[in-house]
Amino acid sequence: MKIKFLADNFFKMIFRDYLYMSLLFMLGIVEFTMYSKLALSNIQQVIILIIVTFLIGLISGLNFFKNDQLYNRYVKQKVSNYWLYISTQAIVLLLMDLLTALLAFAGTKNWILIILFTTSGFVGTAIAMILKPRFEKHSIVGQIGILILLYLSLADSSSGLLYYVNWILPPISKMIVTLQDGHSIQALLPIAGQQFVYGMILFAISGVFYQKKFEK
Amino acid sequence: MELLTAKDLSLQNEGYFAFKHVTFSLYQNEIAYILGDNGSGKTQFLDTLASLKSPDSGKLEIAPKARFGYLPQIDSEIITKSVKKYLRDVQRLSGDLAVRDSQLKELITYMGMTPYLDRSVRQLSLGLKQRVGFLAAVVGHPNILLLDEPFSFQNSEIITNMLDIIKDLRDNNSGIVIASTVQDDSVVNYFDSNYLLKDNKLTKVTDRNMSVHYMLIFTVTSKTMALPSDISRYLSVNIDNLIELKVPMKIKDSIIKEMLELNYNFEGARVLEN
Repeated sequence: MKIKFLADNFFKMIFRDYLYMSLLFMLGIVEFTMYSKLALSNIQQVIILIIVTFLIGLISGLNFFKNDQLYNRYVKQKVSNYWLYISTQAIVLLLMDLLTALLAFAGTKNWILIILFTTSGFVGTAIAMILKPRFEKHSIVGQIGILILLYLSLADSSSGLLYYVNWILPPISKMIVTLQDGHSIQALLPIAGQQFVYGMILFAISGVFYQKKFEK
Repeated sequence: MELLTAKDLSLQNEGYFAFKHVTFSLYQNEIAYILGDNGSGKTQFLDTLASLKSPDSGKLEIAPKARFGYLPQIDSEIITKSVKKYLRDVQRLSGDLAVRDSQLKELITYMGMTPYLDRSVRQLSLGLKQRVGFLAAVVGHPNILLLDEPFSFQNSEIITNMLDIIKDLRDNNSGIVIASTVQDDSVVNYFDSNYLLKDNKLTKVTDRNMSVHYMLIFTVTSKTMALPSDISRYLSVNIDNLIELKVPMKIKDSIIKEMLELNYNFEGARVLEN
């Protein structure tokens, strides 16, 4: 009953202010432009969609946690189970990323892409969760954190400079670089698995970290 | 049995203390009333008791398996469900320990919410939302019930009904904390212990009669006699034909009687927060 109560609340929150719907609409426009107007190869199209699903996951996640902070202050008290609350959030947001992936997949023909797009979006959502202080007391720290993680995700997670800490960086550009190196889509599945585990670890870390701190 | 104990609790918000070194206990079969002015830290204190805020120092001990019911002063949750569906859902959140369906129906009727059952909670007025919030706080049959300004926006009949429900919970082994800005004569008899939250400190009021003051308002008539010295020492305002006397609760009635004998018109009284 508690899961149903929370899931209902969270789904309504995702769709309430139309930001997520607008982002999905923009994804559709990007796809339409890409397929009809731009002479891009299949690989380039997939790369663009990976970046777009990641950004939609990040932006929708940030909006979700902002609204959670604004409107659900006392819902936590009603449910009185912190880990159930956090876990339901993770599942609902993963489903949101799956929906984004399904729309991104619409113009392609490879089912594996649904997994790649979902996990890419999930990394974005998990980054949003770990940077929740953006909407609480530490807005500047949160904002700087978003910019750094966004940079590391897209520009530097496969850089030689950060070779030894590569495993802690969001594996988004790693997927892009692997694709550019001529590997098949199937070869990206282990990286998708890595993205999923990475997202889950971020959720777990933020869950533990904010258990005492999230309310202040 | 002790349900909740706060020991030396302090909470700061952006450099300002909401409350400092507060010690407080809530027992079974007790209604504790916390009186405090706006901004005195009542809401922060209740949020801390409900574990929605972590204190900066001190210790909060809660009885094992205690179930909380909480009516916040302002609940920003956007509830698009109907009143009926929402209350049913909240009732089910508490499982077998919640009130039965028939009791829920009675509570809804008692709080005058029957005509609004099919309306979306979001569309209700502030007063009606407050009643829904109150019902949501009590349907789980909590051991610890925290109510922040529960009587705001309500008429006297609903306030009396709320107090009956609160008293019923108290008689069934719950402990209740009520925080409010105003203290009304008609409700004070329901409370077992009274506290004053002022200057970031929570003080237990042992003699309410001497600690609570009233402002008595009188107007002068053509037959009015001069104020005797035993009354004039309570004079707070004397402008044109208006006289205001600040008196302790204990002597309120005798002062009114004496003023009427001196041919002053009694216009009304209001409780002062401290």
